[in-house]
Amino acid sequence: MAITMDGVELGVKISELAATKIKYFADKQGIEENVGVRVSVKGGGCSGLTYDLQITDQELESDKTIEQHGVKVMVDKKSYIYLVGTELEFSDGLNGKGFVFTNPNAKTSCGCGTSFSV
Amino acid sequence: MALRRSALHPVAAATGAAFQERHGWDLATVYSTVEEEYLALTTAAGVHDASYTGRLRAIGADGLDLLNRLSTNKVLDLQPGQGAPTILTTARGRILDLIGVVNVDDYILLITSPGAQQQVIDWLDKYTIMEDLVVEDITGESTMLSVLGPASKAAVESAAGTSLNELPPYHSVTAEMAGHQVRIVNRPFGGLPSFDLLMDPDASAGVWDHLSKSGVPPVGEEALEAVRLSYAVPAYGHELGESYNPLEAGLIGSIDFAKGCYIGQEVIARLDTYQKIQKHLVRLEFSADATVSEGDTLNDDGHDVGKVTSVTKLPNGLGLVGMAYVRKASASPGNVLELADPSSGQAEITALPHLFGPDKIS
Repeated sequence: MAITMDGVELGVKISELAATKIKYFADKQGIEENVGVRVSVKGGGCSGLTYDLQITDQELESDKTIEQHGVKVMVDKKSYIYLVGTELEFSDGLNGKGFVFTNPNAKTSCGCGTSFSV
Repeated sequence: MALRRSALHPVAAATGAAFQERHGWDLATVYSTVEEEYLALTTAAGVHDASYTGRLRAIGADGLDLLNRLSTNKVLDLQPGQGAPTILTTARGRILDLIGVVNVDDYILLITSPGAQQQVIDWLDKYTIMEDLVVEDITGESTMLSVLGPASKAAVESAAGTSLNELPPYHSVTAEMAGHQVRIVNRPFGGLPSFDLLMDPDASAGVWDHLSKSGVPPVGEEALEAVRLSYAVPAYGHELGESYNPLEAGLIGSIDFAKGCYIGQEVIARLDTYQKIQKHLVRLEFSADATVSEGDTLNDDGHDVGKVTSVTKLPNGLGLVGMAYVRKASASPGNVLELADPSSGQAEITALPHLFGPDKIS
């Protein structure tokens, strides 16, 4: 179930390009249907918390799931509070960073952008 | 609050040992004389009741993985029996605590500084989000004896009837001592060999007696503190804490620069790469006329260059020694600093200690 504030849905959003890349990696793993990505937060990284992405077609009961651009974005309840409002994008090109998180909850982020603190 | 007591407290009291409050425990300070105990620790071996040292039990499939992501050393692949020192650091690269991580098969044993258990538990809890990990304080569930001294290895080998030749630092084995099961952890005290013996409290009096009869005398807090400063071993609350980073504290030998991210890694890597360390921990020998207390200021050519973090008088007329953080430009062995008012006298820097060696792990 999505959480809303002032009528605005608070969830984890992904860009169209990020969704395309997730489908590409899912296909490489042999997942063609029910393509999803589980976004979670783990302790660690330079700033204390770090993002974790897993391609999956298995939705868990504890997940909050929103389907966008043909991809199910699954967020575990425990991670959800750190990720509300986060946008997942994909940075392409020669100096691209791959998947990039824009997280409004992050007070600080490390240089490479994969770790943050709240 | 009532002071905590080790299972060996009645045994120590019966020998007429002197006691004092330290770290919230009623600890034996002297058993015979500080002079004799210091001599035993520095020339042979002595046994110290270190039950006040923090011990935590970490259970869960993700224990080593999380610790690897939160601390400076590589602990991810520690197999049963193996262990390593590592430092929990803040996002600013400051020291939360220096801990020993020992895989004892059933669980991960974390050896913390005395009194630092709760803050280590809180720190690990804070970053346990999806992970399978439960950490609890088991300090009171066992007795911990430290056998220290140049002859400590031979003393423990003899008492346990086993060889410790293949036991690297922070690794552990189980053995039988005086009919009791004991876990032996090789945990050097700076440059002084030292072995921790962990056992059920009910077994402690028997093991203590067995060691004593084998010629390993008991040593109290006072002699241990003198040895600590003689060997320049930093201690939590003095030289270790959130005011300092591991490079300043001479702990580079427990930082793995190639293992990847952990909290504070970016700061520590930058400090190392650009040689940005502002100060360094030093060992000091004070002049015979010196009067000095912890926290006193050290001057070099009239300028404030550091603060004394520990000071103690060595027994047997070996003088007044201590440790301090001193600005990098003045932190050279042989450099003589002046003690600023209200202290007086001089302090010679005798070493820049590196607890786990001067080389980085990479």
